[in-house]
Amino acid sequence: MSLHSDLLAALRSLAQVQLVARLKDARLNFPQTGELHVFLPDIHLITAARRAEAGYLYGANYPDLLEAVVGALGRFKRNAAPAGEVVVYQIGDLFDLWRQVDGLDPEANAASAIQNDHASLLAALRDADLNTQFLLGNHDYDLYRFPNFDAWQRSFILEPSVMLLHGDIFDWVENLPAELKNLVLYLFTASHPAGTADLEKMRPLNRNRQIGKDFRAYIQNREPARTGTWRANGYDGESWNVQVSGTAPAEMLLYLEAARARCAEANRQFGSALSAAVIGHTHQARIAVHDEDGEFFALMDCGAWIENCRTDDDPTPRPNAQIAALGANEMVIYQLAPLE
Amino acid sequence: MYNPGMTLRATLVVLLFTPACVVRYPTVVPIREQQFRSHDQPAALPLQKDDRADFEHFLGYGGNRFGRNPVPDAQAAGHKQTLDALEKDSNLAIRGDLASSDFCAIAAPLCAAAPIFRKRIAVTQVIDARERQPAVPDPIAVCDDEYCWVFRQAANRLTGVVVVRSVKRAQP
Repeated sequence: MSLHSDLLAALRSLAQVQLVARLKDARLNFPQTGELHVFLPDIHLITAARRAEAGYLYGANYPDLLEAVVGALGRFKRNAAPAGEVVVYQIGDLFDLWRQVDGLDPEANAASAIQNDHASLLAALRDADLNTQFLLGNHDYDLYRFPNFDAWQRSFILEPSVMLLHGDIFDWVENLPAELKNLVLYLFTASHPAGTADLEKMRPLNRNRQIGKDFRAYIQNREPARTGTWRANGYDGESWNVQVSGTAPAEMLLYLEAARARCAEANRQFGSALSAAVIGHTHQARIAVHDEDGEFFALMDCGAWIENCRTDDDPTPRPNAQIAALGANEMVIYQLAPLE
Repeated sequence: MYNPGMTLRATLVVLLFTPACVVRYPTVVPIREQQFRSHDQPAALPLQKDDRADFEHFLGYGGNRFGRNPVPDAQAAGHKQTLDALEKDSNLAIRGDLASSDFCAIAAPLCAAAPIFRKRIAVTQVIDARERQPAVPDPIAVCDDEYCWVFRQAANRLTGVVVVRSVKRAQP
């Protein structure tokens, strides 16, 4: 048994589980067998009243299932200790402040309203014993200004080799002037964490992405996101549905090269050894790999709990409901659905 | 060439647009030291007799729980209305899902019965350093001229309250 197989068993006790993708490779250089890092991607919560008032055509998928999953993660974490350590992350865009309010929200009332409207889910996610580690996404970036969200970060380094960030910086980082590029680079190191002043400087870049969008029909994907081919199986630990640069379609490799370039630059500048990045943001669950000329780099996009996806062998739209995990040189993404 | 008129106009333009660029940070209410808070844990709502007596003592001693001399309460009438209002269950309904800074938009029945809260800001960032982490859901605080009323909430109802002496001072 391993923490990976234990997680799968815990998920199967409360949901239909399908394997979206798995990468097992020692070159991830993340060999720890005694720890498992679990990632909950974009949820984009808004209040029910706001959804009706603004006419949004979609909302977070399977909220009851999500709450059950969070509860199960708490039990999984307790049962794994003390021999194993389970760390749960919500990797940004838990709240959708952009859709909740039309303008600035200086008193944090939008975040509070969303919390109140999803009280049991938020209580589970912010339970002290679960100790969820939260990332700021682009849709909830402004939370860094509010004391109740002081613990939320813009990025994490999972030593020794994995970069964890929401992923939205890849939308715009290539077009930045040099000074701001350096600021972004600080997200890729534990030695120069982005402070409030840095986040303040990057804030206008983030807000610019909102201009001219109403998000009424979609946020990221007008059409269901392509995710390759899934399978329903027991735990065998073999790689599955890995998108390799040079052979995979370009849409399946989104941000692989951008992440690789930024991590390589951070490795040069800070002496780190980043060989993988974990992101959300695109609402397209997949694992993509650069494996050329002796260089290996992996990107795991954990998907979302909003909007839809499809598989290569079935065009039927399916609600995104993904969870990902990393440990023992293995990264994996599961698609969940309520038990029938 | 130096042109005082141009300089003045330029300065005015800068002053005009600067506020729009300044990031505003939210109002924060701290749960104060034991001396300056009415209770260690929020009094349950609807308000019961014993807790009401504690509030009356606290407010009657200038927001000093350990004070020895009564201090005239400049807002005594408003505070009495508030305590009366908090005894009635029908005044405790709120719209917790409303993203508004207007306390009375969130707690309309309480505001109707306790006008002291009208035109006051709802504060959701309440700091309590005794706690392991920020409370979920956020408390809702509202400050009158001298005191902040910090409400606990659940399922669109106010469920508890503690009053702290405000750290803000009125302008002389």
